[in-house]
Amino acid sequence: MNKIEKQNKVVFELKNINLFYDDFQAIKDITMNINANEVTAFIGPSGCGKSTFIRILNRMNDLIPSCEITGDVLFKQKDAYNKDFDVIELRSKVGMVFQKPNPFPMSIYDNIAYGPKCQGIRDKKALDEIVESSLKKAALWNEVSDRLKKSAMSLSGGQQQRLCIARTIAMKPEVILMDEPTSALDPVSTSKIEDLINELKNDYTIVIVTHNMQQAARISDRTAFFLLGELIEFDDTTKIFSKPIHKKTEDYITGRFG
Amino acid sequence: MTLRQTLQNSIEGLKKDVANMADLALKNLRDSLLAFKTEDLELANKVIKVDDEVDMFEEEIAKQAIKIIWKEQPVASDLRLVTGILKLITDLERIGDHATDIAEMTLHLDKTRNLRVLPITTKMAEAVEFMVLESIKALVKVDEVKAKEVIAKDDEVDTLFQNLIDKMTSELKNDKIEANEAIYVLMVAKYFERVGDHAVNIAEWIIFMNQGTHKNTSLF
Amino acid sequence: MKTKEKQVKSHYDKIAHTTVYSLGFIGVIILTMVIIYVTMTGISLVNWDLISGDSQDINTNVYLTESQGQYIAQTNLDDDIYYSKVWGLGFIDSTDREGHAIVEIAYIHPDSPFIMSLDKNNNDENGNPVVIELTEDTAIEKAIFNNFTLFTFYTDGAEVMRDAFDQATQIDDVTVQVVGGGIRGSLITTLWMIVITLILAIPIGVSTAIYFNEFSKKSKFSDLIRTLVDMLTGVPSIIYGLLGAAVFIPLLNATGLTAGGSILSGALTMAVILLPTIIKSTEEALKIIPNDLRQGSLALGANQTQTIFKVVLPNATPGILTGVLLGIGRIMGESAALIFAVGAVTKDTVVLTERSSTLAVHIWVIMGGEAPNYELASAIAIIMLVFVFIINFVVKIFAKRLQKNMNWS
Repeated sequence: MNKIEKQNKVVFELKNINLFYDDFQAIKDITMNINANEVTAFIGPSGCGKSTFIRILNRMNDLIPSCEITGDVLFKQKDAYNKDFDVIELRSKVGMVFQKPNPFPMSIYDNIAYGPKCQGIRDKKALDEIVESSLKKAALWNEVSDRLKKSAMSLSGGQQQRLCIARTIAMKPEVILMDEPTSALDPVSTSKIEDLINELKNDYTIVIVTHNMQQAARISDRTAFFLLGELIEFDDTTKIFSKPIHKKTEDYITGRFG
Repeated sequence: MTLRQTLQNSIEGLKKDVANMADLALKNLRDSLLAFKTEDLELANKVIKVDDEVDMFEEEIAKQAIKIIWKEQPVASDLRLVTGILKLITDLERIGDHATDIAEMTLHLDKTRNLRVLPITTKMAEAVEFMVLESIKALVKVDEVKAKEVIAKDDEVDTLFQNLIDKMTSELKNDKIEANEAIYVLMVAKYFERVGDHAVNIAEWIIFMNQGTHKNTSLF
Repeated sequence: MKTKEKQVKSHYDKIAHTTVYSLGFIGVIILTMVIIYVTMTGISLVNWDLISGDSQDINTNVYLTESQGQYIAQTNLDDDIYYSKVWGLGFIDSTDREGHAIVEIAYIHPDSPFIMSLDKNNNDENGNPVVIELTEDTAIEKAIFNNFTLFTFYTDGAEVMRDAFDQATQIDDVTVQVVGGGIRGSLITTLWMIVITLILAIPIGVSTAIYFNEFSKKSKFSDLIRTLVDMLTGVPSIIYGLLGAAVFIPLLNATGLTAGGSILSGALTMAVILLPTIIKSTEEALKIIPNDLRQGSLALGANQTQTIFKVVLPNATPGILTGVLLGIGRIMGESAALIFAVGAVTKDTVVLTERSSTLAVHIWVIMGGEAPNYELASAIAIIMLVFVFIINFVVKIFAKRLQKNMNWS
């Protein structure tokens, strides 16, 4: 998609975000925007806060009682942390895929139908259609269409992860968050998922945390470099990997420190 | 904490090799200029032989650079350095070739020489030698400022060359020198001018190594 | 390792191995011996009658219509059946569950007047005596004949009884006995106890465990509660029995449903006993489920209730069933607590708001008198073992089916 033609709509606006676990400050005054239909990568060494930060976007940090967040998180211009904002609604619009594939111990069909069923969709035909289209979008349909009722645990690691992606897609989200989605997978599965991400970005906004810099270089449009809870640099991926502005960014991506 | 020792060692090795290749090319160039000035036929022959070494250097450095690319997947400054080096060794090798050309000219030139043309060519030779020396210094330090000086100096060389052409033309018209002598001198001067251009190319790649832009075009 | 050290180590290994094996062996031997003893003592009494029979003897006095003459036996009777042609009855020697000798009716001629006898003690609405249909396998305790002689025959044997009947022209009164000693009532009571206890204990226990594991934040308070629950698993159950007697029985009495102990009070008591066990095993089952699953469900936009009931709980079911199995075992084996909380009365008609005994209490009743009946107790023990075995088997199959559906890797 030509950059000029791409609608540079902003999906997330984050302003002056600070995050505390009791007294420990994990995120220090970060401001950034996430653009629509782009792949935004978060990179940085262990403990830099990138996984914590991505969980702000779908309010998974709410599950941690000691966690406190200040600042503005605007999802499509609405305050996502407002008391009146429905968290369930947010999470169905902002899906998440985790590092370790976590399919439910149910059939493949039931895994994908889980989300829609929770939303109240009961009609079998509608569910069938959702399952099929989600699996197709996740490039998994051809491999499992003949055994939808088999347990999801019988799939390989790469297939399970694509199943998790399909499960998220079934909710018809606008944003898909991915927290190191391929770090537990073999290179072939990793490539398949990277190809998939490339296709998905036409329909969804994708934010991916990765510790694999080549992956960030390969698939992302914009890259954000985190260090010790701060956002050091956030720019077009081309810029970051050809001529980053900050020495720390340069040192990290050339591997001078990790 | 500095990591990726292999990458760092490889890059240091690469830079050393390029510096050595540049030194060799420069020395050969100086020898060819000296041989031309003093009509030293033995030196001229030596220059022609040494150029083989310069060629081998180019292959070797290219090999090292390609290895770094597939092995280490360099990014940012490392990437700019390696790709810049890959490009500028071509120009270094061409400078080496021109040294050979000048040496061969020396072997062909008549003993009788109109000394009047020497000042310009000497000036050209000095300017060009300066450009190559400075470009190598700029390369070793990736010094953008020095590189820009090298590029600026090329105007002087071009002017001198134009002067020489004018001078040759007038001298020929006035029958003051032999035609074949004029041709040889002009050809040597042309080689000088080409060496200057190559020095400019090297300087431009040094700027790329710093900025990521080559002749004001971003290559990323 | 030097050779000497190796030798020492292997000696040590050998000693350890031998000890472990022999202790295990001894344990298995003892268990087997207990089972063999119980089986051999009681197996003779185990039959369908035991399971389905009443525990009490039912005595009915009947008087008969006149004899119509001769009734020839319809089939060939065994030698040990003494047949009275006058009345069409065949008598046989037998023993009741207590081991006493009795005389049973082994065969009734289809036209025998005994078929339709009149119950002396029961009258219907119109004041007419109720007609009882007598069957085989009832015992004759005593009979009064036309010359008002009270004959107690059962100690004398079937042959003597047959001769006496043949001589009688009119029989005024026969005491007919349906032999008791059966455990039907206790069996049904045990089943009821299990069902009602589980109905009370499982929802409360599972909900409590869900609350503590899924909902409540980590706090000193919930840790305290957890410690208390752990302690409760160790409380001797007889104390709960006192609780039942002191609290539940008066409570139920106050509602007017009961008067004194009842199966309900027993079930309430058992539910309290089971609660810590069920809470603990449910919590363990919940803890084992990886948090990834919960996160995955929540990230899809499910709320916590949906996550718990659609993802977490179904996967915790095998663990919960284990706790239930433990509970069932405890219910079946409980005696002292139920003696207090219910009472030690064997019944044939089981009413939830009245006292009754479970199988364990029944054993206690039998063994607690002056003449403990080892055979009957062992027979009941065999039934209990079979019962436990069957329940275990069923629950295990159920759990396996669930596991297959879930297919944990």
